[in-house]
Amino acid sequence: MNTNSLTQAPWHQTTVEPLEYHRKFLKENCRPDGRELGEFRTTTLNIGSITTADGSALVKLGNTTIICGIKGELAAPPADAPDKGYIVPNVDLPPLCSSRFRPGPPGEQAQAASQFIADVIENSEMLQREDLCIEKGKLSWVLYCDIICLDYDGNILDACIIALLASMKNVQLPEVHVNEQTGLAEVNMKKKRHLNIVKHPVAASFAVFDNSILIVDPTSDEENLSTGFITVVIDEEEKLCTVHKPGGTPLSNEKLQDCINRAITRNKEVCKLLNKVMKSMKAK
Amino acid sequence: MPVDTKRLRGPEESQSPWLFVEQEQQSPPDEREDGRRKGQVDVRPIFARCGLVSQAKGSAYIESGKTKVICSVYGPRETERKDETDMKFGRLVCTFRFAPFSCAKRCGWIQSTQEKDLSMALLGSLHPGLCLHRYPRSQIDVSVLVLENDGSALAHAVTCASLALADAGIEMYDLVLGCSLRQEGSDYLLDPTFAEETQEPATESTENRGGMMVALLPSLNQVSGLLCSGDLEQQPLVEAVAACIEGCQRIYSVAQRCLLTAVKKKNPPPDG
Repeated sequence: MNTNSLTQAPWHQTTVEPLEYHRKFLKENCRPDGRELGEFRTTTLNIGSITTADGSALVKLGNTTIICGIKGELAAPPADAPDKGYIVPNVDLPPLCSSRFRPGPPGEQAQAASQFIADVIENSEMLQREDLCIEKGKLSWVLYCDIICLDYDGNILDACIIALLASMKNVQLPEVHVNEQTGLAEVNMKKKRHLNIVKHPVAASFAVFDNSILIVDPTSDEENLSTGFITVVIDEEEKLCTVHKPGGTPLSNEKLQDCINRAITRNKEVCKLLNKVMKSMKAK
Repeated sequence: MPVDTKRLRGPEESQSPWLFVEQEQQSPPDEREDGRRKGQVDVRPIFARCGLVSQAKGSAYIESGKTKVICSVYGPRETERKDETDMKFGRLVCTFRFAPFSCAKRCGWIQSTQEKDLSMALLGSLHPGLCLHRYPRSQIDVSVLVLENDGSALAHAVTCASLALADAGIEMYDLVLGCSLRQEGSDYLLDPTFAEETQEPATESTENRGGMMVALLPSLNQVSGLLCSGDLEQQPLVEAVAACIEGCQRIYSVAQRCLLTAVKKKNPPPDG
């Protein structure tokens, strides 16, 4: 199939009968943008560009662009866990990124994404909340992870996890001591240290087409036409952290296993990319 | 603070670590940090790029020093509220937001009154530049997001928004460019950084201390927006406006080149 013709695809095919248009490609085991069924879009990563944030990362997954900025603040630890800090992720889908979002409070999709990210952070134990405690019962760090989508072209969950992971690795927090006499914190901005990230969870999202065909990394058009979604999060030890399947077409055991295997290879790809970018940053 | 039930919440109260850093009393430096001159029209070099948000009709990104601003334009599309005026003219809706990590002290997610004020200022500055009578019963949505605020955020937002509008193909009389300035005593600092905007004054007197933002339509040489705060006497005020206008004219060529590149990329010239 001549996939170069996709840029000049007749308007009626892509707009009036999008499902038929996609089906034609799926029969040949490929997709309108030329990818195979199991191929991810080109991923680019840029770390540490926002200097006002303690850690930041910009991820582009094809056209989907996500930026994550982490800021650390000081607060009293929670009453029920005096030796732990807080990690507060929030995903925002502003009207800037797509015409489907309206200004105002976060919609369902943004709230679901925020909760998903919070679950991944907790389940994967990528960061020990005890590390964020400065003095038990008195002072701890709060990491506000603010994730903003700049361009919505499908598969934001994968991109958000990569952005979060990369910016966590980039975060540098200053040293804080609590002065015994005054009880106030003393911050030394000149001494900074990185966070201790023990696990590296990476997500792989799949869309189900016509109740049977699984495609990886769906674009916005493919998401609209799909009959089900599944996101699998795997860490670098090939352990399963999260499986997120919000309703949709039921999947058989073998299909689920296929998804998990693909997610394992994706983890290796992303970790390699992340290490490459971190090394090039240290070299500067 | 209203309780935000739709977002994941952290602790009730948290403070930025900057509050606890020992502040060394620094008098404002004689020279500007990045080597620009006081009292001279020295704007920071600008990097501008159009057409980077694939979903938007038009978009633009501006980087000036460390200030980073991105803008998307959607429209013209059907207007949400219909009044009589919409029958003849299109409606322009502007939203200005700071990302929570854009300032040294974290901003919350809910749009603060400052952001609403800046949105109105942005709307007022852009309005005269657009041919809204060509889009009756329609609405044009402009969303600006400041990713990093290192001073002159509103001025760069105005420039970014008009580049995005031009990229979207909205008919305009002229681009609208913004430039801001900070007056300290007898000198002015054009295109101030965040530190310069918020620095403590050297002397106790409050004479001639303030900030200004001018939005200009360069080829028509008309001012569409002027915001001034602080305490300025007449002569320095007039000089400040002239300096800002000169600053806008300096940015004009960069903006034009950026748009040309974007148009050429969208419609490459036919071969042969």
